[in-house]
Amino acid sequence: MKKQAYQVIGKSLPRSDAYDKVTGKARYTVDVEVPGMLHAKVLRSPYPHAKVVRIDVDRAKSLPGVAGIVTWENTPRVLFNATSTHTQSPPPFEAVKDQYIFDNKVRYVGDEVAAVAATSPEIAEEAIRLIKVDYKILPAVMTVEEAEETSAPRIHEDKNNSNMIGSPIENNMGDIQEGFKCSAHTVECTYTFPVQKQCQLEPQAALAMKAEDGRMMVYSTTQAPHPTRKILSDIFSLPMNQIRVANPPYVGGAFGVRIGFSAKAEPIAVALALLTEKPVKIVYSRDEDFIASETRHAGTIRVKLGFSDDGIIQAADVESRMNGGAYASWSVDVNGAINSRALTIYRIPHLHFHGYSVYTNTTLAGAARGFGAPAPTYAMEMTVDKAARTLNMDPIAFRLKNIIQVGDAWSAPFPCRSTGLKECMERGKKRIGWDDFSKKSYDSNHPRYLRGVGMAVGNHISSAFPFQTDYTGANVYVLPDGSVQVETALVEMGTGVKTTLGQIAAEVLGVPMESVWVKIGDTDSSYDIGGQASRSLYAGGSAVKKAAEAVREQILAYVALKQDCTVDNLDLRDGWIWVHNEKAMPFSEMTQDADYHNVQFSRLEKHKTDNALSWHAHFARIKIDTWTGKIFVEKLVAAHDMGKAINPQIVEGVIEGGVSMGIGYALSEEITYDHHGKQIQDSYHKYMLPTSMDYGEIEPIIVEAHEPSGPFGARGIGENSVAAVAPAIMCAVRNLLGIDVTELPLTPERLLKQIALNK
Amino acid sequence: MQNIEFTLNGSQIEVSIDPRESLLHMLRNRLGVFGPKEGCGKGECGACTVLVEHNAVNACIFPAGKVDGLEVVTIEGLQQGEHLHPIQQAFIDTGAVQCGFCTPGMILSAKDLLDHHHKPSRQEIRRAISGNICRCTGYSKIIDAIEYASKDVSKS
Repeated sequence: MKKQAYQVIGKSLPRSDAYDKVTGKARYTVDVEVPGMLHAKVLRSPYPHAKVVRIDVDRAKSLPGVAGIVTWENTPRVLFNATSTHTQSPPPFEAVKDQYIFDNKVRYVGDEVAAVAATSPEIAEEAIRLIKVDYKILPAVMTVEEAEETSAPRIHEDKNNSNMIGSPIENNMGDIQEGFKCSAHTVECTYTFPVQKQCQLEPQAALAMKAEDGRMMVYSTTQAPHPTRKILSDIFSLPMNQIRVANPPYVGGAFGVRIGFSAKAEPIAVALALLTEKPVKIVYSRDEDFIASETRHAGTIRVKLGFSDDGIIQAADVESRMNGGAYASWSVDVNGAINSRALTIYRIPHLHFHGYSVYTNTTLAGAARGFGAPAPTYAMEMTVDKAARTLNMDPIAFRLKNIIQVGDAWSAPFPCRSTGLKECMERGKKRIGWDDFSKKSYDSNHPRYLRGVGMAVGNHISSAFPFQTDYTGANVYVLPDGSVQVETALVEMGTGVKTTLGQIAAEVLGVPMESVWVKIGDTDSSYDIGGQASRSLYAGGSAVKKAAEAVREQILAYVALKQDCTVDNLDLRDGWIWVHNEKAMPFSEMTQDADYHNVQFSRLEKHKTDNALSWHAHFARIKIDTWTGKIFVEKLVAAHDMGKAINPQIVEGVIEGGVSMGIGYALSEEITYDHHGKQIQDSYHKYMLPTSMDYGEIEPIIVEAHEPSGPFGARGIGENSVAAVAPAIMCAVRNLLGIDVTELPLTPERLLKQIALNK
Repeated sequence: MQNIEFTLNGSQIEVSIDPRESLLHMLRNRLGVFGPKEGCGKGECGACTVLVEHNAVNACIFPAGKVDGLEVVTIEGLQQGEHLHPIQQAFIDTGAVQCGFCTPGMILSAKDLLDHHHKPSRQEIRRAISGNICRCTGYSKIIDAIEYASKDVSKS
């Protein structure tokens, strides 16, 4: 095949949002101010489980500056799920809607009881303290085990007869009994996972007001504007077209914490704006963000793997039990993702998966970067590593025998059309110096230190299809001066989509990148399900490409008519119209001419809904301090196949960020609860978020296996690099200490305990 | 209330403040300077970093009254007309910007470092930004940017 020479894509062009962001001009929801706006604060439950018997707001109401107070008594009694998934799930998926803006029962420490709008945040804060609430305290359940006991209190009485969230996810392929029968060996282990927090830098925030056009305008930190509008429309009985949700235009990180509502910032702001008839802004404090917005799921995963003497996997049985927290959010879907992440990497003829989540009186768990991936990838990869050891086989060689190839049968509901996993493994192995480090090594000068390597692989999706509806409308049009406008509702939360979508349009239309402007994050663009599922470039890019290609055809047809030639003799490149391979006229001259003749080049397109898995192999070189139990990741090589890298520098940056989150997941990040049911880690410092001092160099490697279903052969990359980090590190720990780390994070305390136990 | 005078990004400012308020509160709420961000309000994340007398401080826990008579520089004050500061340009060129919420603080911590230390090692750079949290980049390209800028800054 002739290699195409691209003009714009595949190049590390500077981000189109970078100038705004390095000069302090970039605006986020927390920066939006409008005249006469009120500030809102939320009263939160101090108890993990209680009935709200009485709320006395009289003293708060009489405080000068207080404009309005909302509680369960004066807000709509409409159940919702704050995420896009149970707003966008097509039948037969059953939506689990279990949240009100406020309820007469609280289900975790931090649950919303009331909110006040006042002329300043300080007055609102003071008013909150003046609200008197009588609670009837109920027994609380904090763990999956407690919640599953038959005598356990029901957290949602109306839902069903247990604390199960929705229905379990079940998956079968082949015959699992038969699979283990024909396995010469089996290994089995159960792994336990912590609560991780997304820790996006911009806290949850929203500003709601009646706009000049009469609609309800909501500025918001959401990463899914259209689904957010849909949920607001349901709650407040407003037609969707009477609500506008927009980022202003930037979002300060998200990582899954606001695929839909930003916790409850949007509905609280709207409720108060309707009550007071004034603009209302709400910004969560960092501790509110920690305790009262979604987290990653904690839980356990058991894996049993059967394989033959020659290292061929025959059977896998996987069971997951997740702690969903107080409300469903993504807790049904997460087990679908766990199933998919655990069981689509290898050829497994006989497999079985069973997974479910339960309600507990903890902060609700939802989506977090690498949705559902870190836990099953850890459990599966640790088990695969163990299997290779059982056979005295190199873990890379074992994997190479078993990884999915194009066309293989697997349990995903879409085909595998491309994979560069083998190349990822080979290039990563070389870069880390696998052969030099795979044997245990002591630092000869410092016998307390151990150095070694470990590796693991993983994959991730490129869209939410078929688990949610998944489509993006992209509008591409050319203006009379030759500048190009691209409109989507996708969100620029840091992933670079404002730049890469522009690169795709510029490539197709043969114009320089500077000629293209990309509108983002606004429901006044065509429908889209938001920045999630690593889909923005794959789905949004496909839509933009299709629309731009249609516009290109319109232009070529127009020029062919003018030049009296066929379109085969024409090209658009470098901002020029080329006829018979010669520059005929600047692009802008042609568009001006078209304008004079009442011709506009424009197209609204939707991509062909599809999905594809991206692949990766991570290699960790670690140093263990056997005296303190501290593990330092000296180098993490992250080889990723995301198909065509539309902007390699952006791809690298995204990989590095995910790896950092993976290192935190492996070694330090965790939210735990005290005996009152209160979150202990409610700030960055207590939570032990990785800083620039906490690990060594991250080295991304880009592998580009062409994906037929993606724009220019691209797949998703956004969430890919979190999951394989922990197993890569812990396989190195196993190499060095012979310890099977079954509980994350491996803090120095836990490692020292393990070392002592092993002696 | 209390009146203070100070230099903000080269201009003389006079402002009436509540003695209890933070420098960040004054900048954002009284002066409309939105470059410095509030990520935690407790001096833990560095998103609010500004320079007071050329030293990086967490504006969210720095008393506003203390800048009376001093020189304050925020991200808005780094650019000279059309010309970006070399650190700003380096952040663009090396791809050190993602969501951008930590960026103003990161750049000012970097400026503090490079103003005092022309050729820092990567380890010294890591230390200088260890009070600035970034969740998007894994710090890699931020460290690259500061290293790259140090070459430009030391030339000028």
